[in-house]
Amino acid sequence: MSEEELVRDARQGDRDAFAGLVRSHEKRLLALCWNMLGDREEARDAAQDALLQAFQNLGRFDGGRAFAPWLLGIGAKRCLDRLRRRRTFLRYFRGHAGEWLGGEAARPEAAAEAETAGRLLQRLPARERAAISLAAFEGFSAREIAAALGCSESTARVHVYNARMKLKKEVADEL
Amino acid sequence: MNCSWVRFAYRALPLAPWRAFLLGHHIDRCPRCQGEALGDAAVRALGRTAADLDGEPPLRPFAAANGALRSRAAAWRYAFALFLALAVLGATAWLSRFIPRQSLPEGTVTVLEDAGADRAFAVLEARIGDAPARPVVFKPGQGGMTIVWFEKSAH
Repeated sequence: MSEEELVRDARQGDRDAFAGLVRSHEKRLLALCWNMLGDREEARDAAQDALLQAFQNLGRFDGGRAFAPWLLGIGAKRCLDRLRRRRTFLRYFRGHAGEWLGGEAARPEAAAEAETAGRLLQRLPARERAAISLAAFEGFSAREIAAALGCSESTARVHVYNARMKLKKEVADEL
Repeated sequence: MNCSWVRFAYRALPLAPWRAFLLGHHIDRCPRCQGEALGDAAVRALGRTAADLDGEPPLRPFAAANGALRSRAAAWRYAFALFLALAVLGATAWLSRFIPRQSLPEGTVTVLEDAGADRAFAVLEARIGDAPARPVVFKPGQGGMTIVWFEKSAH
């Protein structure tokens, strides 16, 4: 079946059609989430959230466009949501860690960064990380990144370039 | 445009349209400025690509969906049970208006107040319905308060 046929059937609630539709894209989606979140389990949760959200919003999908960029855009947004929540939690945690632990505040983010692969990517701000993940790993254009992240094309281009510059510096510092 | 000047201008004014202008007019086409940033291949080496995830088990999006549907169904069940309980309470309250109540007999007390003494009175007659009532006098503590009530007497 073609992608268009799968989309049509999935829109009518056919879960098998949707499963067929995402089968060829799910690894890309998972890789994107993993690169953005830096943690396998959280990436799997985010990717599953994104698939579910895509299924529920298939009615809004423009059938004339490719499915993968739309799906990956949803994935990027889900990851940004999670990063925002994580930041809020960490801010709260840092504020109270001293009194909870009775000592100096712990640095869970740093610990998590050290444990996970792609820690250089994890040091980037969330939106730059999303932009560079979509650009370098998925070959998204600035316009597609802008559509996925809900920002202007200029901002998307700047995010990508800033991320590249920061990564270059990080790599140089690591060496 | 001079590379050093462009880089200075890029850093000095952090406005997306300005930076995008510099990117479009110089940085994207200048090998020296591109050398300041990491290329796609090098960025990909820092993260994971779909090819790196060959051993990963497939995602199960509908596991979460089923869970969500189950919890939504449970929420509806609770809401329905609450509605049912409220409906039963309301119906009970409404129906209770129609239950005939046994009316209490009316009581009458005739009292003679002593105009001279401030707190003195005499009970001349007390009746509950047609029958005479028996007075019960109760003096709690030493506060000087007296409580008098009447109850049905045997005759």
